[in-house]
Amino acid sequence: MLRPLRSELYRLRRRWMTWIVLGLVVGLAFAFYELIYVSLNAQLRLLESGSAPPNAVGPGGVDAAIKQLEDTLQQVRPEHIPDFGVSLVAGLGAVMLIVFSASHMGTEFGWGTLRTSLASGLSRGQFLATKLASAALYALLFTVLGVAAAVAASFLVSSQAGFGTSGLDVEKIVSAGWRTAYAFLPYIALASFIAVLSRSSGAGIAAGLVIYFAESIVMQLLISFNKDYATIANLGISRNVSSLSRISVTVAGSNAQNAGVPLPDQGQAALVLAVWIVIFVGLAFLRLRTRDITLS
Amino acid sequence: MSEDVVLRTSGLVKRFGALLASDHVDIEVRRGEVVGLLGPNGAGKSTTIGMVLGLVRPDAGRAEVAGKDVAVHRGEALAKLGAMLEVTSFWPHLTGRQNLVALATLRGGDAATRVDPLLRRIGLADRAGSKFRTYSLGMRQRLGIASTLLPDPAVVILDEPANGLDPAGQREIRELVRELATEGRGVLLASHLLHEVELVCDRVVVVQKGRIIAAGTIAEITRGGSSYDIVVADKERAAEALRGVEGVRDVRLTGSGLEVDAAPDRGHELNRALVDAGLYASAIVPRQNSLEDVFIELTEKESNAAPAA
Repeated sequence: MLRPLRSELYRLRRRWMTWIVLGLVVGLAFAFYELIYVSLNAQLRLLESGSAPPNAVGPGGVDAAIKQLEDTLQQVRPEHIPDFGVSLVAGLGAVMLIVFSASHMGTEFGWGTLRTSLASGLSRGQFLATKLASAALYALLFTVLGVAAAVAASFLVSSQAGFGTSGLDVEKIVSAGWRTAYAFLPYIALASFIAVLSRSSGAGIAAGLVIYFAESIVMQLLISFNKDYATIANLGISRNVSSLSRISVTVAGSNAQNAGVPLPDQGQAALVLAVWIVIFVGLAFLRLRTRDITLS
Repeated sequence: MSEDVVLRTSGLVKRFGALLASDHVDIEVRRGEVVGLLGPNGAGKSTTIGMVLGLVRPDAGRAEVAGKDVAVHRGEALAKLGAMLEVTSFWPHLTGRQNLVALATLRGGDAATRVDPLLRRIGLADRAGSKFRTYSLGMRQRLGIASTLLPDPAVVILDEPANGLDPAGQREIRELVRELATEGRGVLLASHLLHEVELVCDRVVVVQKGRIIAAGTIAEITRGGSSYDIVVADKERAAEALRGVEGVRDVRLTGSGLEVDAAPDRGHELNRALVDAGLYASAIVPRQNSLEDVFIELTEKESNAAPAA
């Protein structure tokens, strides 16, 4: 198992896409922090100078609006990284890792290199395991770098804003990072399964993203229609992912309680996501195991 | 399995829906032997190779490499085998050298130590640092051949290795294939280039519609394809006299005389039959058909026969 993984990582290190995705999460983390600071700061100055348009001032008056913006701006401080910073990485990561995983798997079909690997003695099971293990390692690296970038961006923007840079809770950050990385796995398994099924990166990316967005919307609609349907929605992916990263969701402004319906507890969420991972990986293996690898 | 046999397929059968792609294919390749696998497009050559490599699952039969059943001991069996498929596929973002290193890492053992010597042997050392995607078809073929030798295999399968190569390149491949056999490896060579096969192979297996329709040494295969051009005045009478001669398969009238299909040792019998009939040939010229002639004759005959069930 180690030989195929070493070979896989050797190839992965030499792909542009590998570094572009990592570069994007680092760059976007800095960009988001900086944009939030610049945007909120500009609004604050307008309010303080009295030149803000009337619709920018809420019913509570200028002071209340200023207080609200100042509170929001506090989110860039290091003590809020486990909530705000990690949620940023989680939001970017699901989409980016679906794209990455589908490409990681699908290109082997497109390039015909699946044949080359299998003809070199690799079994179908080893092939799949290697691909998934390398994608999981990549998701971990993605999370680590993304969170590290969020930490750096938080320190930078906090200094710019004149906030203190104290309050960094490494233990909380690591815990949130772990949960976020774990929550990526069902999406990686889903995108990989679709890529195996369709033998195509494009189909894997498209279907993976559609399912990612659509499942979340459908579950919300289901609960809006009847709160009792939360039992069904809690067996899906999106609500369990939200549950695992619920500290971040709350602070980022989403509703962790989801219209008054509590999210599953984190233990249950982890279990349900594990079941989805097993289902997707199992289906991918069954499809790959029974498929003849021909030239067409 | 005899120790000399490094590759054996026994009764391999594969159906794709209604299409019978391989129909009880039995092939043996011995150590130090080059076996040609011939057949028109769609005859089932690549399917057979796919089954040997475990890429295609046979409906029946088995393939063994160095005594190991590919279906049961896949890893062990393929560790002794190097294969270059008809369409050479490598990772396009890697250089030629990196592709071999990646495959050597996958193989394990001392495969990595062979990367550079192989690049030199195959004539790719100068372009080893270029991305695979920039390679010409010929360079891709060379890299494919190099990759087959990474595991120091007992048997090498080459599917159309000369595709895209210029005449000098084709000759190099011929020499390399002979070298591989000299080194004691068995080689299964699938090719459309019949002249190439005739020059390099010890034995050939001809497949058509998934079935083996002929197998043997080149001499054995072409022996049945020998003929004579006979120049004689009274062609009709001569044809009548020759049709009764033992070993004569067919007699055709041509512009200057007759064309007689018969075994190569039948010349004097033909002459005697003509003399007995009071006819005197001004020329009896033996003609040994090439592998190409025999191949076309065999495959056309098979095509005209009833399709496989």
